[in-house]
Amino acid sequence: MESIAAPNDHTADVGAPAETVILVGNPNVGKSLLFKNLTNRFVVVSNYPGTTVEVMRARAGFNGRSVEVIDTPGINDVVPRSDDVKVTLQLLNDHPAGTIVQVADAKNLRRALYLTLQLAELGRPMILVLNMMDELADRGGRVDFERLSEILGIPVVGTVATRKQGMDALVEEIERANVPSLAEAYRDAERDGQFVTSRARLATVHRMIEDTYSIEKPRNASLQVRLGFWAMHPFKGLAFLAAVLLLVFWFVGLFGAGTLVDLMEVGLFEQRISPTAISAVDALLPFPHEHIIDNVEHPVGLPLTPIHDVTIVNLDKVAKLPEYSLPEGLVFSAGQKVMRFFHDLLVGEYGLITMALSYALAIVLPIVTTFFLVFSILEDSGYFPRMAVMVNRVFRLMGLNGKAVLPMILGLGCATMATMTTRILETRKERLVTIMLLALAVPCSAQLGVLLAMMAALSPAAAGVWIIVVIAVLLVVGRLSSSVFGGETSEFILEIPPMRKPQLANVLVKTGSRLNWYLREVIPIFIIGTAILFILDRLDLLAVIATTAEPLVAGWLGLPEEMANAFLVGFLRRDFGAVYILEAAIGDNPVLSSHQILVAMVTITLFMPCIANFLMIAREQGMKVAASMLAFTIPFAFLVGGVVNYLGRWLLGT
Amino acid sequence: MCNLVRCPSCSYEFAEIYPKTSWLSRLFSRQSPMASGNLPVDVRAVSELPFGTVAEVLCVGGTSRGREDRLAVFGLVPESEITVIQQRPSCVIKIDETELALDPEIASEILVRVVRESERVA
Repeated sequence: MESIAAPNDHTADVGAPAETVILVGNPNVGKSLLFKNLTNRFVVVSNYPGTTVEVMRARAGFNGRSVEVIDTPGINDVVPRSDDVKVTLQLLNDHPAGTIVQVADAKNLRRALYLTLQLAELGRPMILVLNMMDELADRGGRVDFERLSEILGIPVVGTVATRKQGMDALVEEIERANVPSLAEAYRDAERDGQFVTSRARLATVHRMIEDTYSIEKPRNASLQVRLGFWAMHPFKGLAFLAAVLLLVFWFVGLFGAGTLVDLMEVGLFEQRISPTAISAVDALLPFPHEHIIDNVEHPVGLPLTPIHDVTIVNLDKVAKLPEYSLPEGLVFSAGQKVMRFFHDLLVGEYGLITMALSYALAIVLPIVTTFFLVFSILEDSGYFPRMAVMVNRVFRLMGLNGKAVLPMILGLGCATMATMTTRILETRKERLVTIMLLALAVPCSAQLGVLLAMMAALSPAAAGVWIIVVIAVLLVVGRLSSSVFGGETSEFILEIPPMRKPQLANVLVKTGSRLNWYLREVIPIFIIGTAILFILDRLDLLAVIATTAEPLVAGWLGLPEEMANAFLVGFLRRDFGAVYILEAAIGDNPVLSSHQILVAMVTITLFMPCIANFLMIAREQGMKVAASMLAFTIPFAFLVGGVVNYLGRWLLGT
Repeated sequence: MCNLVRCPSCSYEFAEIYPKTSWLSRLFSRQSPMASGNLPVDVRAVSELPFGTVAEVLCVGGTSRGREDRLAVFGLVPESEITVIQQRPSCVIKIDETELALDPEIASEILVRVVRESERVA
């Protein structure tokens, strides 16, 4: 078995605590919640390099003794086929004196016992915890704890982690952990030399279940069960999906991208932080100029649709703006020119404080936070496997299977993070196709807000055309990529856990960790992107690029030539590209017709991935792949844009 | 010619008489060898069962041990009892208290014997 590199936090058995407890178990059994119940707040999360597997460690006080508790990823057996198992086995290896606490789903005892037998064969002290006893009781089930304990030769404890029941008994029994004696269990087992065959294990589990476990089928399914069923149903499931998407769009696209962003961008930055920074820089770098002072409007309200909102209060404020005028006829000295350069670098139109920082904190942060929040809620409720069930057939057309729905939905939040998440897909082809589609056609949350505003300026039919074009592109390019990349698609075998009420603690932890990653990995790239924009503007390159691209933009796409800047800017800052078009569409001087708006929207959605995503693709799949994807998306976006342009004009008769 | 047929992965043997299929229909039929035309009368593939059916698993299918292992961890083994939850948009079955979604191919290779027909109208 190849060994996995040690975790990044370098904790090993050197100076190890008196006792180590390792939580092991199937996925979705409540291990993490149990971990949280047992330990104090300070958790060290370590990630194993080359995997997305995370291991959590914390200390606990058991009867006055300090013990280290380690939470492992869910595993179903101990065959080192997946990263989860390899990491868990590595951990057990690193802590040879540790006690194994297997956490099981009481109502799925058969699967748990299959794992128990394999863990028991490792010859370590262990105990078995049957969690979710409440759900077992709901289904009229019962377990004979004494008999089970007798057969396995280890303590068996029942708990309800969500209600913190059974914790004391659990701590007590951990003290009494011992090496299992499976003599009774394997009494009649069929062996292959000294090894028990998996056939024999299954047969043994079967006998143990008959001996200790009983369950009656309930008459009426609870609401939870029915909801879980509807979410996968052909028609109700679609309605469910539509409702969920609508909720996401509202919460993220309108509330997050609208209200919260305004609050941060206008209320915090434009009205307060920027003016203060400008004054500070002006004091440090005095050169003759005068900033415009104007009223900055800030209506605060709730968005109902992309164009209608209810204004609750107006928080206008007079403030100093980044724009300034120079005194007539004055020639600057060299020193003054230098001062002006640094002044603009910090607080100018493309300044690091006025634009880069405000972008990162005021625009990106609220949008991405709302998205991750909604995503974590959906994840914790158990909805995503059901979504996978809904889309599996369609995804198979593209050489993917339903499991790819997770990165795709995450792509609506941030395509960079979604590209990293493709690691959960099993084959190289699935990862490449998903990455391609994410880079090409899935609009991220930074764009969504703007796109929704633009759609509001269009007729419903035109908005419908946009949606249809994007979906058609997804399917066609997906299918083609699948053939081009070649290779296998993994089998679709997916467990559907019961729908559960999302736990606030879980949701907050997941949102927090994603947000943390985002702040550290993506934001710095955007700040650099803004600096590049600043340099381009300084060198007057933006105008040059516009002229060079004119035949393409004006001739083929039918858009005013300044729109070329929108595409370039879109690479560095995805939303800014879209905003450029929005300004031209519904800003103070609208210069785009409805038809042109549609063409621009289609092209900007399909246009190349943002710089952060590009770098992530290079990291995941190599620069060659990233460069070829980039090289594909540029001409492809223009091609589709042009087709929409000419087809539209022909149909509309202009 | 003897009537014994053996499943390559789990060695389950079909010892019963099955309806004769002519060489002609086998030539033009696009069904897999596992399709009901070539099996003993009461053995069916999971993909054909209407939702609500309860059945006992005979053979888990597939030509490699990989499939067998991967399904075994969910409790999907010969002699286990399953309930068909739905076939559209994807096949979902229930073993004990675990619900499992499956590809159509995998579902067409799991052979079962029906224990209780669906109570719902198909």
